[in-house]
Amino acid sequence: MKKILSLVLAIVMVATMALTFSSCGKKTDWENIQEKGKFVCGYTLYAPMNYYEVEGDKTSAFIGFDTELATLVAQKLGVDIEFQEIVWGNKYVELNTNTIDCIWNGFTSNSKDDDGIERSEKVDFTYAYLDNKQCVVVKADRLAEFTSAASLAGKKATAESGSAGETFAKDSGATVEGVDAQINTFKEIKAGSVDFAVIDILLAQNQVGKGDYSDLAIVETIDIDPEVYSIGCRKGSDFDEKINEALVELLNEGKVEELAAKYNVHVTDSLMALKTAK
Amino acid sequence: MTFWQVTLNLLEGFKMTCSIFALTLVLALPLGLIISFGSMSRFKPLKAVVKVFVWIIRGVPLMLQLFIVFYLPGFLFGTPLFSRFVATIIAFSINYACYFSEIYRAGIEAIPRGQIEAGQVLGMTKFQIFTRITLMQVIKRIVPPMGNEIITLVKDTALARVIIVVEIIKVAEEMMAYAIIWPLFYTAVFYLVFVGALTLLFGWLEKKMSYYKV
Repeated sequence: MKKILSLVLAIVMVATMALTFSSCGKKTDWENIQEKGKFVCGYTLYAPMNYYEVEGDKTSAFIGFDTELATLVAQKLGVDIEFQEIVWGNKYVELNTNTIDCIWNGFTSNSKDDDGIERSEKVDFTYAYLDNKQCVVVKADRLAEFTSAASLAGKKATAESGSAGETFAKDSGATVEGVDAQINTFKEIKAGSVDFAVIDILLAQNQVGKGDYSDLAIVETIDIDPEVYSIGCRKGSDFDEKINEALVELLNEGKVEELAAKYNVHVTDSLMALKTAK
Repeated sequence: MTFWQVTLNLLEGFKMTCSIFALTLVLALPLGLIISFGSMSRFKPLKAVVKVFVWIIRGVPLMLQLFIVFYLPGFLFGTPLFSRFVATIIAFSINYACYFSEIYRAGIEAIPRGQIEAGQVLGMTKFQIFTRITLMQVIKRIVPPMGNEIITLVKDTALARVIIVVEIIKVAEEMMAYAIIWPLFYTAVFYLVFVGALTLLFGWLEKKMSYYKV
């Protein structure tokens, strides 16, 4: 009896501890980040947003449009930045368990997940900062089969799980097998396990036609609605406002356009409109 | 990238594979023995708790255990308790300790009761009986099943990439961003060499342990 009692008491003790832990730390995100002196930025490897540069034989610096922009924003905010690779399908889990502070990786903000819920209801987005589009990638010798969006129905597709491309592929009537990163879609097409992939055009333009992917091609005749990238913060966070402030400052200094030119991407008109010309 | 550069990159990931392997082994081997004592305990409540624990750990996929150890503290307390690597080691150690404990138990219970009674007659303490009579025979008997589990562990380390621990397969997958796919298949060589070495080691151990043979 005594043993059972002590066991029950032990459980109660652990539960109380858990409660005290969870009730403290009611500080806002920004206060927590200031306290830590850094924020953790979740990404997946994705050229031209976050990737390692290849110099001849060696991989070296971690670069990309988002990498450099996030670093500039961190400097503006006076905190350090830590880049943490994530599995894209787990992005909301990572964010909500506080293992990362923001999702900053070509995150399409004006799109629904496949549960039909707008992404903006799940995370707090910053200003839309880049234009993007999804595109269809196929084996080059099968290009002729893919003429219009209607030709996708009934085919087998792949896309990154939890991506805007996955939602598009499902909506077009294809059966979709999700993979855990956009770059993994290429090996599916090459292996012939799927007929086409839907990925971000910025990535596709960067990779398709190169190296092992030289026999792949982008289907130019299928035009998918344009979309925009934003940075995702926790729902109810105040960190997105901080990022917005920093973004506008960087915009006014001309840094954002400079980066966009370097990586050959297009800054959204809505962000450019916030520029207060001097 | 050249073959040599790819090899160097993969070796970097293979280091992580080896760290997970070695740390898990170092922690799980003794922990497994403790768990096996629990599951053989004559104190019924303890035995029941340990049995249920082993049932849960062996009954839930290791991949899910990785998610639980890494993400659950963040859900409950708002901040993650462990780094990705530490979470991996915790999940792997506990999981493997449970499998090891059953192997230990099989080994220990296979020792004839008469030998222990003989030890008691000779006036040996419980500790002496265990270390001098039981353990010496257990070790040699469990080498083949342990070898089996340990070889499985080498390959299970690949699971750690679900919480982004950058082990060798993860490194190979990341290289696909440079438009090369073959490193992914090339990783097999590393596993084969490692498991080959372990197989030789266990073969040698078995020979070495053929004491008590008439």
